[in-house]
Amino acid sequence: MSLSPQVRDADTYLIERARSGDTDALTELYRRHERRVYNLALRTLGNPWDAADVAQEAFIKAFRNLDSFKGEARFTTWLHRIVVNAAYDHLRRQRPEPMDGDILEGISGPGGGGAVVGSGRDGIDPAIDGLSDPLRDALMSLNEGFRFAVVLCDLLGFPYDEAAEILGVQEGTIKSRIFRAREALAAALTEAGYAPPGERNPGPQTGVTSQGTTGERRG
Amino acid sequence: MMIRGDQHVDDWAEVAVDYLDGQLDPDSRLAVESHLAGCPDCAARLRKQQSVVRFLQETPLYDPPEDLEYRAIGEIVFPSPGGQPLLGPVEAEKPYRTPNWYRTLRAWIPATVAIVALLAAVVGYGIARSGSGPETAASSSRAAGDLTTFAASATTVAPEATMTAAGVASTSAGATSAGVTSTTALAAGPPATDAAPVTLAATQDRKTMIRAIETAQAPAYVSFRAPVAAPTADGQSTATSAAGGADTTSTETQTTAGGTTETAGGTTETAAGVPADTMTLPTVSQDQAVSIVQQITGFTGLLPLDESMWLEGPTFAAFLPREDAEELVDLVRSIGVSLGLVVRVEGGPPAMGNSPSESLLEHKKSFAVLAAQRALQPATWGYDFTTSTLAAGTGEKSGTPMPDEAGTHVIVVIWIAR
Repeated sequence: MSLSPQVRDADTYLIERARSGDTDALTELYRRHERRVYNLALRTLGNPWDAADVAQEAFIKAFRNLDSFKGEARFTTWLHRIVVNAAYDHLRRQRPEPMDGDILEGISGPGGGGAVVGSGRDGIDPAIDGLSDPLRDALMSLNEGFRFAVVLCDLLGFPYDEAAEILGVQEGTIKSRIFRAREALAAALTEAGYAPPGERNPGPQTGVTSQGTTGERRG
Repeated sequence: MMIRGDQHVDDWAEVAVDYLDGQLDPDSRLAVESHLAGCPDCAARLRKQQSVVRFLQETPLYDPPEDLEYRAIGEIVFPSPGGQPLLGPVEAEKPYRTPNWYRTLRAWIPATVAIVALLAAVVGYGIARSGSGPETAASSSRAAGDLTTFAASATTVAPEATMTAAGVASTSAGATSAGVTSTTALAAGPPATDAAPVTLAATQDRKTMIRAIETAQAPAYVSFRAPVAAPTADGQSTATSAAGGADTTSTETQTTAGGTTETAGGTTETAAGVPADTMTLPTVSQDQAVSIVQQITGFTGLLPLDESMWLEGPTFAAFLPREDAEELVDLVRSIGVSLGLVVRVEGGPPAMGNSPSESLLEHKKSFAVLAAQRALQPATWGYDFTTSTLAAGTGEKSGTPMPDEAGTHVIVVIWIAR
């Protein structure tokens, strides 16, 4: 539900109170954002354990640094930027080698293929984690820059300009990325038998899927 | 903007994104449309884009794991011994326990305090009166316990919230002679269970519910029911899902299991105030029923029908544009989840003696129109995730003929099965 105007700047109010040591305000601030933060981590990292770790890390970092939040950006922008950075860091830690398609497949595909990488949880039955949907596989097949953009905009409903600010890229970049990411997702979902009926399958655009790293990250 | 004949959508992807969002100026839109008219390939790709966008937007978000809250803020709220306080002047020894009612109340306090308080008092009285004798007595004594808890916890929340909550309580106390029952019910607040493991029986899939309402021929019937708790090895979770008001304390116990001794002490004390007989058959408790009514009214402005038209409990009815089925389903599901109840789209009205659903439909001329009001994302500070909200009313269209019941609209009857 969208909140009424009186509650719109509740973040500001809660931040002020939290800075003065009000732990209830801090709790409330957390609860206002936990869902989106967790789902951002979940959909970009692909499994609930890493997502919870990253969400925890990001919240702690944000709350420890509340004093450095100046209110120049929205709190949501600031917070989600921290989450994105934590998620990128996590992906880097999992993958000390330069990213390549095979390794990513090993990370993302539950029971899919050989490479055992990272946390060692890859062998866990995908049904247990509640994420055995084709969307997860489709998202994880995207290159990071595209995945983060499409998760922020299409799954979490961030406006393009805010997503651009969070990812530290131009708004136009966000738009062209989500356009290509959607086409790649459509192809992957169709392949998994899930896509809404499409006319034909032009295939993913070059560079969208994880054949190489994308350059930019934080700004 | 011009699109040359040889410029396919890859050359203007950013424009295509805005086109799909309906954000293009008329000239650009015309340029896109005239290209699409002559280019079946691009047109097909944009159709596919659109269906993917819809698929993604309809994908539900997952609930964060229960322990994330403690993991994320526990160290700040309860600094380890000898550790630096992570916030400024943290008050010492404050138990980590934000009352659940506080969370729910905040969402609808601003606009609807007075009307909801009054309504809750009246409906709460009605519910209490229609309940059986022993049950009412039990809930009264429990409510007395809750009031104590409420008073204690009120001192730990923000002054603004305390003030508001106190205002609510006094409003309803003054509004009716059923002061004791209604006031305490409200003070006890919605016994939210969203952190508790809930064994829901026959939970419906969100998309199934949306489709059922979108395609309903007769009125669409939506019920709130107590879950039928499946017998599990984990007796705790079974009791939790069934016990209505009692679960608030259980939840706190679980959430703060790693917390300080102060917290554990406070929780035990509260739990001791809950009579054991609330841990029996799963029913929608009075507190839960009041909370559902409060939330539906608070979020939509829709008022419950006259008691003579109730089905198995408090009942709402409205015309709903079929295209807004999703908003309604999301609302009732979120209310149901927060209370640990099952929300279902039923195949028809409940079988009852004097067929109240017929008399209900005789009054359909007086039903409100419940429609989603879509708003742009706020440009400044905001909690800008959802852009539509349901609101009841006739608006400027009052006096127009009844909404097209068979085609564009459907009557939705929502009731609480008690």
